[in-house]
Amino acid sequence: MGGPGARRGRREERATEASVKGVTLDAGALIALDRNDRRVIALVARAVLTGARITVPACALAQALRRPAQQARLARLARQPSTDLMVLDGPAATSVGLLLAASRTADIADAHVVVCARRTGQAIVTSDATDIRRLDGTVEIVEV
Amino acid sequence: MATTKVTITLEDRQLESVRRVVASGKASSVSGFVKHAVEIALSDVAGWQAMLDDALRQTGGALTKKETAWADRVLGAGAAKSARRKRA
Repeated sequence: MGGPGARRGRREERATEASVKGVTLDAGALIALDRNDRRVIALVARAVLTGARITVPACALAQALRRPAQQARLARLARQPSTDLMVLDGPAATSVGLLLAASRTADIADAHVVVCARRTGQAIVTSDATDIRRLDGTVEIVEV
Repeated sequence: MATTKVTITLEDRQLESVRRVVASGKASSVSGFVKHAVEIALSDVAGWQAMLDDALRQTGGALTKKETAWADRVLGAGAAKSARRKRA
């Protein structure tokens, strides 16, 4: 009972469960949503209909949110129960620091986006794929 | 209106804040405050759907089959890739 094959099967099951269907938005994607970019609107609208999650790293929101009164779409996205607003807490800060050291880069907000995407197993929606690739060449990226 | 009693768990700091609001007379009770908050949250969810529908209208109308297929692929892409990596 429970040979190597079964153990591998259980590991795969856990990995699939740990991956959350949805996308992680960086600051560029949030700004694109605010500016009526149809592809980002399409992703968010389908996420609402299908129950997929939208991950918003707090650092990305801080970069994108400049005039909350005029950016009703972003403010409302952040308040939705289907949105996971990810704070930069102690463990996340450690992961961000390690990632910046490993990639020899310095952008905390981008690194936080990558850390969030790794944790959720989601693709990253970004306006600058090059910056994200510099941090992680394996993460799924959708450029808008 | 029919009501049902449920048990919810709040963070201590949240409960303290709600109790302060009740003590100041701005809400009738903790239960009343939570009911009000739920009503606002439900309205927010409904308003979000309306806002997205409006955004789609502004940018060309309802999603096409092609756009829907693309969005669904992207929304599931990270999870699928993660599972593929583990299988490899």
